[in-house]
Amino acid sequence: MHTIIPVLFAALLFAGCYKDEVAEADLTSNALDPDYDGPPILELISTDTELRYNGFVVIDTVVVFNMRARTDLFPSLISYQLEGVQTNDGTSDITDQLVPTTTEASVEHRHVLYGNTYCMDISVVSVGSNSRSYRFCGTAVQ
Amino acid sequence: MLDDKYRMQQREVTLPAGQHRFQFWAPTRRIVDTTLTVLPDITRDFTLRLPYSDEYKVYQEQLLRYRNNRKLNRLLPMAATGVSAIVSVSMFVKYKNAHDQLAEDVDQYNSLTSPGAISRLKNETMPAHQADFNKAERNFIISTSITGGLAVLTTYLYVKSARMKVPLFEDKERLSSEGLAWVPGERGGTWAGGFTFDLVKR
Repeated sequence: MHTIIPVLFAALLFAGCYKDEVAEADLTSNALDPDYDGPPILELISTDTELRYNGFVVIDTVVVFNMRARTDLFPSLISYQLEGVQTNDGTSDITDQLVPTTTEASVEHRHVLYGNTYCMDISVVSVGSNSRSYRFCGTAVQ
Repeated sequence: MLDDKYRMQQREVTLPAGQHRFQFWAPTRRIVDTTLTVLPDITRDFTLRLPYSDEYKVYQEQLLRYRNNRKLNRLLPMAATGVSAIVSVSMFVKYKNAHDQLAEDVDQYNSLTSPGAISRLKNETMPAHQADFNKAERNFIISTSITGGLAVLTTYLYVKSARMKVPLFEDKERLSSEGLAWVPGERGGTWAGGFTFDLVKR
């Protein structure tokens, strides 16, 4: 009796000591988490300025952002899209669905003028929602 | 005692006809003093039920009270501690499950491929599970503390009850009667012998 009680009491206390809390704020390691703070999952390869035609008629000038997605940082192989949102007016451009092995894709900033610099917030779209976005800028050159 | 002269220990005795005074006594019983008339050549059955002595009744009451007190001081706290320990174990299981759920959430976080699902997990699911965990942890600490307190109280009352004075039966009727007497006690009883020295000068 005199032995059992302290042993039981100590066992309960020790059993309870190893548990700890989990802080959600510390969870930022998933590359698709909007709060992700690891190495960038998107890299800008280059920017090009291109003309868009309707037949032989130029209808628009765009800055193309050629991107590389670090799919190796994704939690698993997934099909995804890239979406770029123009910072000047909020319009967006989104790629077709990309297969897991595809690492390069482009989004474009429409209605540009030569000599001006344009920025886009580009993110990965997976299962209908966006990852953290990265801002990239490029200048429209003739 | 027979006729104030003879101490009867044998089971048979031959008496002359006439009145004889008997004083019957048995351990824990009251002495009954009666006179029987012995008639020649006639056999009669005589049955006498000796009542319990007052001291024995008081002793029985004290013994019952002692036993009840001891039970109260031992069994009740032990039962309460036992129930509390069971509750503590139950709380620990909930506490552990709540923690396992959080660990599972972390695993899920690392494997989710939907940013929206990740946000819901972090902003809705995990805070709810964290609240469950905090509640389970609080309940576990409270129940463990209560169990510990009850365990200490149980030990204290157990030790205290062990020091309780066991009531003893002093058969005062026995003092009026010589011979070997059975004195019941807490752990059975003892045989006691007594002598009466008549110091009155006749």
